[in-house]
Amino acid sequence: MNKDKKLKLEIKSAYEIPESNRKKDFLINLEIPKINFYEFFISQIKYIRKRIFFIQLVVMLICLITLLSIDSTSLNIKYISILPSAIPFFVLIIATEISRSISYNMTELEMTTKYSLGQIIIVRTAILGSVNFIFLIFLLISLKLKLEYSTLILSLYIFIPFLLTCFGSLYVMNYIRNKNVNFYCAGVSISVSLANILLYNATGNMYNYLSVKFWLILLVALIVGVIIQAKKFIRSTEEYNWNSL
Amino acid sequence: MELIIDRITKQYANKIAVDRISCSLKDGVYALLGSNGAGKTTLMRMLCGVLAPTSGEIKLNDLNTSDEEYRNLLGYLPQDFGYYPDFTAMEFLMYISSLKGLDKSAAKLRSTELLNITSLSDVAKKKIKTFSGGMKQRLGIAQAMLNNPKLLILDEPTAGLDPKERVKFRNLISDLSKDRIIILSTHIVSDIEYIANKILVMKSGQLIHNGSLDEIIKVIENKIWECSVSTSEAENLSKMYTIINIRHEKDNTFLRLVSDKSPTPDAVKAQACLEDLYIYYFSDISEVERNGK
Amino acid sequence: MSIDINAHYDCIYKYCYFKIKNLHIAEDLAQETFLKFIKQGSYVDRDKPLAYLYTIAKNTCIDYMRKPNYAELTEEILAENDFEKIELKRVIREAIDTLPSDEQELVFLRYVNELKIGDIAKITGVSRFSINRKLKKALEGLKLVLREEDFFE
Repeated sequence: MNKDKKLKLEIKSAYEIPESNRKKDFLINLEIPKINFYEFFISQIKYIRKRIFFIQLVVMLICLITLLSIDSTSLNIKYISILPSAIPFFVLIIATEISRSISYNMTELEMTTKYSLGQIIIVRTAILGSVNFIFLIFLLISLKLKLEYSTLILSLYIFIPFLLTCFGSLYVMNYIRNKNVNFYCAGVSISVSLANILLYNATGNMYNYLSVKFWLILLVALIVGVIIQAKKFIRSTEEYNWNSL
Repeated sequence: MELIIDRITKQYANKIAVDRISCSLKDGVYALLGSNGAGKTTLMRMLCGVLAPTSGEIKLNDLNTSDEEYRNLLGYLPQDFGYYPDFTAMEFLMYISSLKGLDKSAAKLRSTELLNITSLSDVAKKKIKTFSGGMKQRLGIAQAMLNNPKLLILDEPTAGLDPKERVKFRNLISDLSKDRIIILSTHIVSDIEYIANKILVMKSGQLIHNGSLDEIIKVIENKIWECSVSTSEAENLSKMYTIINIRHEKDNTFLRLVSDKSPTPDAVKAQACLEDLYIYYFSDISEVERNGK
Repeated sequence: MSIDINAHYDCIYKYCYFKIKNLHIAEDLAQETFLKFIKQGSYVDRDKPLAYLYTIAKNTCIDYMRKPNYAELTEEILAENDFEKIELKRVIREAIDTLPSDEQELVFLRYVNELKIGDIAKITGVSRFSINRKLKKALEGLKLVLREEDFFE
């Protein structure tokens, strides 16, 4: 062995130390710095499946393209008015994502973390809801550009099916406490969508058919209903009452 | 750390799942022993704040189960937990870390460490759906440890593990047991003998015993007998006493049973062990025997 | 940015021992280093986690040495039963102590912790060329000192 190599080896062994018996405990008990709610909120964005945003974007683009390529003859107004029938499916997609914890049997675990289930669901709803809201506003603006109706009527077009589906879905989620909840939500969305199409076919423009006052009252009632069901749902996340099938 | 459980009860419409349980726990490993349906999972869920008790109080160093700070100190492994599909082991730990409010890069370090400690390093990037039962359990323990909890609750962590994995698990619990309260429930007796400092025995929702292995075994000390008798005699004895073990041999039958006095003239006293206790408590015959005498 | 704490624990421990020459305190300082490292986590330069880790270690040791009740402690006997080997190690460490401090550090990082030249460059801020030159010089210096002790027979 040449001198250099021997020297290097001896240098290394000159600093050999006995194995630490504090190492394992240190590693096991390592304290980690915490994040605040805002950082938590941001961190949850990446856990929402990208495809959700993608699907919503695609559906919205289809709506927009349909809108823009049709001129405002009265025949085509019928087609345009079908567009709000797509809105229940926006809600369905969001509902599916929000209830992922239930679908994948994660609720029990997520109830015991610092940011627990109720907060997780609120955060997911806020993220998806904001994005959804932006899409709805886009739709509203696009409809406004094409149709002759007032902003109020157009808002009804969009927000009544939306709120109705939200209400129905929340009611379902409060009532059905197992993994099949998504199927029932799909049922709600399909029903609202069909109702929208059928009623529209029957009455031409149902929002003008019945008085605006009626629809406004319904709108307010739906908002109240959604808030009540949402509160109930969030409160229910504090106690484990899901059945895993 | 002190966990005070004060007359905790969980009552449902048609049954009482947990019946006025009280005890006070300090650092160490506690085994919660009971047959299925004894109320173990219900009790654990109440300790985790997942279920609200019908009456009674749970306090960890003066914190209530509904406090956020309580959850900060808590690590839980449910009996059956799911995971979002396509998560790898590392991704799962990072997700749970975000829920536990841990800083992201620190969480990465911690997750790497815990995968080391639970011998899952080489599958860190593999999807959980490819994991065996034992691997999934170990991952469950890893996630429970992410926030370095002072109260670690594990619900049937060894169910479905093969003997080799069980040994790994036991060693892991030993490593983790310093400076925290670990409560693990099981109906597998051999787990307890190796791991636990204290044993809590639950039956029909009640806590019927709380003590170290030696203290608990005292109940049946000097009451374990072994004898070899004819098959017909064995049948008689089976009706009269709680039988722990019965083994048919060529000419006669070997019995191990519980009795205050020697059941046959040539019966031999045997050293009581935890399995004896388990059968004594959780065999239905013991009810009949004690009432009938 | 990720460091395997488990993998680097022993190296940082040794490094602190190299500076402080007391096993128990060296381990305390090593643990302190990791805790500081974790605390700073998100804000750190992603390129040089290792350099950052060693820098924290160095500063932690310096801070400790600045304390009013710090006194150069006598060396502890390392895990070794063979008296001759103990002697040999002591001799080598003393030889290294005679080198200029920057060479000492390079010798340690290269031959004890076996870091890559590139990493050492990031830690010390010295160019790769200079590092190689200094290491060569250090080895020559050590050989000179050790010849007197009949190291090479």
